[in-house]
Amino acid sequence: MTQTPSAEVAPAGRPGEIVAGFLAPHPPHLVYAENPLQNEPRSRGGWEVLRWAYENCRRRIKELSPDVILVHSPHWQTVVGHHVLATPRLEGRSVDPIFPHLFRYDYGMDIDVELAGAIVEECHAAGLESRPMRNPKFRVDYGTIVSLHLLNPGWDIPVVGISANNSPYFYDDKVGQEEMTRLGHATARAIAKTGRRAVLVASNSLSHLHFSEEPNPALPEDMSREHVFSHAQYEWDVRVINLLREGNLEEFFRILPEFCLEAFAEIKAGGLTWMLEAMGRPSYGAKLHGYGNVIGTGNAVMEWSQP
Amino acid sequence: MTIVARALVSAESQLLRPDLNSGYRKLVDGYSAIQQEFAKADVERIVYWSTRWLSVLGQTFQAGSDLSGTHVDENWHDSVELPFKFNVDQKLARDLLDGAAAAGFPGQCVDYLAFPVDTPTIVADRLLNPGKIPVTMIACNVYCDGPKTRDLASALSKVLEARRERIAVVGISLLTTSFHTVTIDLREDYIRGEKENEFVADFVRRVTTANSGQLATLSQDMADHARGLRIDMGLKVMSWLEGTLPSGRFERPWKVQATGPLYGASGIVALL
Repeated sequence: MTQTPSAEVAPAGRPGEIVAGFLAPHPPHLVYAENPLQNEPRSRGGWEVLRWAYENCRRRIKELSPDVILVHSPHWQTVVGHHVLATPRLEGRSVDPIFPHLFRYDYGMDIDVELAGAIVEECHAAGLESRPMRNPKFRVDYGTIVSLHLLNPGWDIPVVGISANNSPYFYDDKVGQEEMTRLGHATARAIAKTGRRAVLVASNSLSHLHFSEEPNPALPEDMSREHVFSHAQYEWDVRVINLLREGNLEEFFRILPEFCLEAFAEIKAGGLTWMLEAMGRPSYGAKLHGYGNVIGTGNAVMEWSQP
Repeated sequence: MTIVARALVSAESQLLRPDLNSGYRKLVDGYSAIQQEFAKADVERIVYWSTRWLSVLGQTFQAGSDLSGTHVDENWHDSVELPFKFNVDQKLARDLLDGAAAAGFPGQCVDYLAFPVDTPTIVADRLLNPGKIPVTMIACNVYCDGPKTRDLASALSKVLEARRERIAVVGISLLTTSFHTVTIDLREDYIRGEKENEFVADFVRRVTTANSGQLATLSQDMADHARGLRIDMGLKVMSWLEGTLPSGRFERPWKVQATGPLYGASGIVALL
C-alpha cells in the first residue's frame, strides 16, 4: 500500500498507512438527488452519473475497511492556521447557507480524537499554526458532510475533518500550496505514528465557474438545464483529469496555478495538494470513477490506491 | 414610511471584548452612538446586508420564522459561542423578494430551522439592536458587481419606501481584510499593513469631507483607490448603501464614529 513519508511504528505495533485517497467533490445537489433520510428536502433524482461514481467509491471503501476517513474541506475556511475536528462526537443539523433549499441535513459523526490531536502536534512540530476544534456545539460545514455522506452514508467509520486555511487566497498559490504540502506531510506522520489505516478525502470540485441563477427554480434537478459552464472550462478539466490519470503529478503541479486562475478551480483551496503530498505524490495514475457538471461546475470523482 | 437611517458597520467577535483593546472600545462606542440615532429616529425595522452571507444563484432574503440558536464561530470556536434570536419580519422579506424579482433580480426567501446566520450579523445586531426591533437580512450576491448591486439596492429601496414602518438600512462589511495569520494577543491587535492604514485614513477623510461632486463618484473612487489592497468584497457595501438613497448617489458627507482593528482587518462604524 501507499508509503507515508515517515512510516514510524505506532504504539499498537504496526505502522499507519494511507490506504487510498479520493477526490470527492461536494455539491449538495448530489445528496439532495439521493433523498437520504438525513436530508429534509425531497427530489426526483438527478446527477446520476456522479452518484454512480460515488457508488463505486462506497464499495471500494467497504473493501478497504479503513480505521478512519480524513477530509479537507474548503467550506470550513480558517484565518489562523489549520483547524482539526477534535471532539469525540459532533451532531446537529447542517443547513447550507447558499443552497438551503437543497441541503438541510441531520448529521452525526464520531471523531478520531487521538489522530486529530496527533495531526495538531505534528503541525506544531513542523512550525505550522494549528488548533484542535473541541467545541461540541460546532456546526460542521456542508463540504465535509457532503463528501463524507457520498463516500460512507452509514457514517460507521470515524472521521477527522481539517479546515482549509485561507493562505492560497490570502497570499498566493505558491505560498498556499506549500502550506498544504507541509500540512500533508504532517498528516502522514500523524497517521504513521497512530497506526491508523486511513482514507484521505479532498473535498473539491475542479473547475468552479457556475451559473448565477437557478436554471429551473421549480425543479433544481432538471437535467435538461445542466451543462458545463463553458467549453474552455471543460477542456481544462479534461486536461487535469488526464494528467491525474497518467500519474503525471509533476506536470499537474506545474499547471495548477494557471488552472486555478483560468477555471476558478476549487482545488486552489488546497485539499488535493494536501492529499497527494500526504500520500507521497503517488507515481501511479488515479482511477476516474466519473465526471459531471453541477450548476456548471466540473466535478471529477477519482481514486488513488495502489494498483 | 421611509428609510430613516443608513449605517455602515463592521462586526467581528472581537467586539464582544471591548475591555481588551482601545480600538474595539471605540468601535463599540460608535455602535452605541448609532443605536441612539436609531432610537431618536424611532426605527421600527432594520434591514441588514452582510458581506459574510453570500448568495450565488440569485438573491436571498431571510424570512426565518424561528431564527434562533447558538452560533459557534468557525475560527474562534474555543472562545466564541453566540446565542441568538432574531425577530424576523417575514412579510418584509417576502415583499423585498417580490420587489427584487420585479426588477429582474430573482431569488428566494429562506425560512429554515438551524439556518446559519453569519458572525458579523449576529454581533452587529447585538450591538445595534438590544430592543429586538424586527429585522430582515439580505445576502451579498457574489455575482452582482458594484453597478448591479446599486441597481438591486435601488429596487429594494422602493419597496422599503412604500412600507409604513420607519426603516434603518445597515451594511455590514470590513474595509481592509489583511487579517493576522498567526495567533496574537488581542490586547495588541492593530490594523495590519502600512498601505491599509493609509487607505483607512484616506477613506475616512474622503467620506467625511467630500463635496457634492466628489460624493457623486465616491463609491467608484474608493473602489478604484483600493485596487491592489485586500478589501472586503471590493467595497461593494458602498454601492449597496448608495443604491438605497433616493438619488442613487451619496448626498452628504458621512459621520464616521470610529475605525479600528479587527484581528488585523480594519473596521468602521459610520452613519450616512
